[in-house]
Amino acid sequence: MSDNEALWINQAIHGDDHAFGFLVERYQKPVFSLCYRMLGNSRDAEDAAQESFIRAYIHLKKYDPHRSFATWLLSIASHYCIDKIRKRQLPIVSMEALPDEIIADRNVPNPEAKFSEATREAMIQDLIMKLKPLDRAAVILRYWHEYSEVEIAEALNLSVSAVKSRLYRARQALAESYLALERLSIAEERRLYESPTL
Amino acid sequence: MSHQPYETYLFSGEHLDQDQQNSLEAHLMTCEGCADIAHAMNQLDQAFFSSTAPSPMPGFTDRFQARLAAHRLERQSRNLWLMTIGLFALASLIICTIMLLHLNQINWAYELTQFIARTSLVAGQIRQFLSILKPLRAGLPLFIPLMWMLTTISLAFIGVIFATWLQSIIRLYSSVQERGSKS
Repeated sequence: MSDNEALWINQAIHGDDHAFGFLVERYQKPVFSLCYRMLGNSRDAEDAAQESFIRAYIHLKKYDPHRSFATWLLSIASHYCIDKIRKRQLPIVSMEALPDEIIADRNVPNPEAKFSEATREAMIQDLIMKLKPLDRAAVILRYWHEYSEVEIAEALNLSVSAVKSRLYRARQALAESYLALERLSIAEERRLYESPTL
Repeated sequence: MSHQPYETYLFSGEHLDQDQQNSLEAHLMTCEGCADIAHAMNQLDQAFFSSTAPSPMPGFTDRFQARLAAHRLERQSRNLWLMTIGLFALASLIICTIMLLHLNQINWAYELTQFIARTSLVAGQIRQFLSILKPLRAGLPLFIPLMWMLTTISLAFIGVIFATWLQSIIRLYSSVQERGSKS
């Protein structure tokens, strides 16, 4: 933790909103990114990220300065998103990133590359959304935030062995979903190019 | 064919030593299922690591500050309500306790009638007072704010009560003195 950060935390504990604003400025991107990966759309991600910062501000006195502030903050955001997903109790599909809705924009430089990137992003998000909330959080922290298993365990209040087993199960599920998607896409391609039956 | 420990190697995501790596590669040459899984894991790893993190819309911190202010207001209002309800509950509890302590001495029907009669009397007096004030208020210059008028009236009312109380004390004191001098 930088000296500035420790100072901002200390000032925010004593009611300085401006100091907490610096912390929001610094951590908005990782918190928003986590919420986006967890919830699958920008509107819910914005709401969850804002609420996570509000919760962090309210409970700032409970923060242990010996722990990483980023881990503590991402822990709050992860738990908030997990609760939100469980309350929905509905299958969650990313409405912003459905592959069918992606259209190559001819006005941008290299539209094919942009299109391919958007398709890949949509595919990743789609696969992630099929995981259980806690497994999803573990995968997001591992891949996008490069957290170790120990850090994930700390953030999600799990044991290290539980994190290992969740990551194992999540990777298995992701690989199966990916292979199923690939088989489907190959079958679709074959159907398109095969000769029509007479 | 046994796929263990190769599936574990593929899904655990842990670093493999050279022997494990060689044995996995040999297995992948002969097992199509595990080769597919290895291909999927490679593709996923590449896709995850090359994926860019989405950013919030500009002005996130300003929106947060506004939300924090709204949250504070909401909490203050909730606390005020809770305090009011708490005070009301406490007052009710005290009244109920007093009533229960004097349960045998209270004539409920009489007390209730008295309460209604007194409330009606006070309400009537307030109404009369307001009807007297109405033409006065209309005659007064418009620049005198209503709050000033109410404050002045309240202070005058308190002054009258205080004077009456002082007078009663003086009378009581003088009567006690008279009795003392007679005896």
